[in-house]
Amino acid sequence: MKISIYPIAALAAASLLLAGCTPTTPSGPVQDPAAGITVWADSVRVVTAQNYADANPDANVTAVAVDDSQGALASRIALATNAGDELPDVVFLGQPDSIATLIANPVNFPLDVSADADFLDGFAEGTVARCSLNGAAYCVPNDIGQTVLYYNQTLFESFGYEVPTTFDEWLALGEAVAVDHPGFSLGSISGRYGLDGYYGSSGCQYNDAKSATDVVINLTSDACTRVNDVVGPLLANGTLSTLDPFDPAFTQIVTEGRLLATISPSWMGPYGIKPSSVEEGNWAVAPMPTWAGASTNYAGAVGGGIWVISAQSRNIAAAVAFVQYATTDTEVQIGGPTYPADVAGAEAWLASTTADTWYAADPAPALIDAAGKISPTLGFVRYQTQLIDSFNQTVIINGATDISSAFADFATRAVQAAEQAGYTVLEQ
Amino acid sequence: MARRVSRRATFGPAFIAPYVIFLLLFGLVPAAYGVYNAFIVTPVVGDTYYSLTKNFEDVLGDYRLPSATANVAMYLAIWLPLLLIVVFGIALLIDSKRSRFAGFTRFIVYVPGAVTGSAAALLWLFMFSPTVSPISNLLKPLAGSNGLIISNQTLPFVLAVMGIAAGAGGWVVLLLGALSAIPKELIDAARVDAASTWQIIWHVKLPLLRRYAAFILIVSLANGFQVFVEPQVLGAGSIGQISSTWSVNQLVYAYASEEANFGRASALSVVLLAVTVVAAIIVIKKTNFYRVEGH
Repeated sequence: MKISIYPIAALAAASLLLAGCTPTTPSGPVQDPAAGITVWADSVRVVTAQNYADANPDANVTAVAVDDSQGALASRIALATNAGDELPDVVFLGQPDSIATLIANPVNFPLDVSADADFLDGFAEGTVARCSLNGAAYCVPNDIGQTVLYYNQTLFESFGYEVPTTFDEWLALGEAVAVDHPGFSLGSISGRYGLDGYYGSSGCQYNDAKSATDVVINLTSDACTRVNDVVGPLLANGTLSTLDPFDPAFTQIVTEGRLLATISPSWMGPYGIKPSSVEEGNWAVAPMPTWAGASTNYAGAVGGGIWVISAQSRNIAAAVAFVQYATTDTEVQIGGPTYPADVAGAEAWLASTTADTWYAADPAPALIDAAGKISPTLGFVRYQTQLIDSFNQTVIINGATDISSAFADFATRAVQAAEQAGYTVLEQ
Repeated sequence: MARRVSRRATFGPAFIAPYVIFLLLFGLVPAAYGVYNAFIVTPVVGDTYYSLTKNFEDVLGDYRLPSATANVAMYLAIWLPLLLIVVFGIALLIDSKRSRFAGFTRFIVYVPGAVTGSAAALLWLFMFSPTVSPISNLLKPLAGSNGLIISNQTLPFVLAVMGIAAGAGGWVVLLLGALSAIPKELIDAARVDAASTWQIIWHVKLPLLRRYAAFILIVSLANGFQVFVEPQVLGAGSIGQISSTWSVNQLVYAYASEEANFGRASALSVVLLAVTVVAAIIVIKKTNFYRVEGH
């Protein structure tokens, strides 16, 4: 096979020519109060958009259902940007980490809503801050996956255990369970449940983004090592499971009634535990335990969607009005599948949760407590999937034998992932 | 005579036109655009620029590439030899004893090949999931400490089993066709010279099937280097057990989707293409694949 070098040479010449001309950053388009808006959302939230469109025919809202799997939406917007296609005015991100891709090249999609949206104060503490960078707020939170302590009250009473309020007590509980009731589990620590639930709630910094290009990674701090001290022994004695909570082998544990307690996001009860442990009156929710030396029982976060408005929208006012409806309208919040980020909306949403006789006690106080305490160190970064991969390949696989070296491996990979994704890694 | 030539000149291109159009639209143009894209660098902030080397340096220096490459190499090292052994073994076995069941046997061998791609991945996901697998008792000794079969380390074996189950049947049918094309006189002559069945296979049939082996290798290599669907589906099914960038092509996908960095995605695709082409050239040279009989 003969390969001609001419195309390569021509390409090289073309690249030299083109390197001289650079695209300029576009400023926002002229606003048109009559312009309709297009909303891209997953199959659940597209219903909200459609309802809004039906109720407000003058607003001329087009609701489009889109694939919301990891990376799909960001790449779709990036492709549309590259091709010069029409972009949506509003996007729902069920994978909120995608915002880190959207604020970077080649997309530069989001609008800083801090000036246009006057309702941002109504959201749970810290939820707007998660996608605020350099004073600009790039998202409006929709729902949150704050972590709490789910526990089987019936089992706790029959075994004579107290509900832990600190992670030292959690560790002691795990050690007691391993001896007295082997086979019972304190939940999954796999992937984001372990990383964002345990390490995240402790304030361990692995995705603490400060801008599109700066992130703080500090994995030698006490906030990380104190988690190792709890996770290591519980991995070794088997009370913490390395299986994903939705793995059939783990659901079997729940079905057989061997899940004693778990640090899990707010939605885990109705969507993870309830389907496999249907009997009423067993499960209750307690606030997050406090880490040794910490003054606040911060929560981790797993999931939680956000709304993003396009900086290229020709009708920002209409886009903001829709997002305000989607995130703060009480009826919409009540009908939402997961815990609303809007404080007033959450209160209304909790009414049905409180009334649910599946719970042994009202879970509302614990859920509310955690909602406003998501650790401020948890940010959105472009390498979140790599973090989860690395966590699973280090701490999850080797943590039972040597948690320190497994976590050190994780630390190395986290920095590599951040740098590969174009971040400058800061110590603090 | 002249008229005939001109007619042939019109009909020839007309016949290949549909193929050429599709090749251009969905093969060559995207490939050329991909190569062009490989030289466009998109920094996280700041202006896009052109560079001959930057994207290639970035992807070749990626910390995920060595393990992804090792995974794919391991997979190929297990899958390709096994595939050839299984395919040739079954084909020669069926061919050596031609009975009236030959047609039926051929059909049976081909059937598993009907389930391919993501469907096969889903099927095997269940087969290898200890809690639901119909052969879970057989699998127990293979499970890791977490009780699961599928993991980053076992995936090359799992993929090899999947690849052979899905692909072997088609190749066997192809080889049986080739075997039946071997002149009967050749086999008879060998028999007259007192060659055993084994000797006939080794000295007559196999040398004549050399190019088929090459063909199977080339096609399988190209597919194998680009393995994507199977680890992607198995990874989505057994959550947390398989790295999202287990194979090189998945790394390409990660660049394009999560990082929206099409330059890097294209650069790694070009590298992948180059590796596949070089591997194919080596196979072609070593087996005289394009040699015309009598030259």
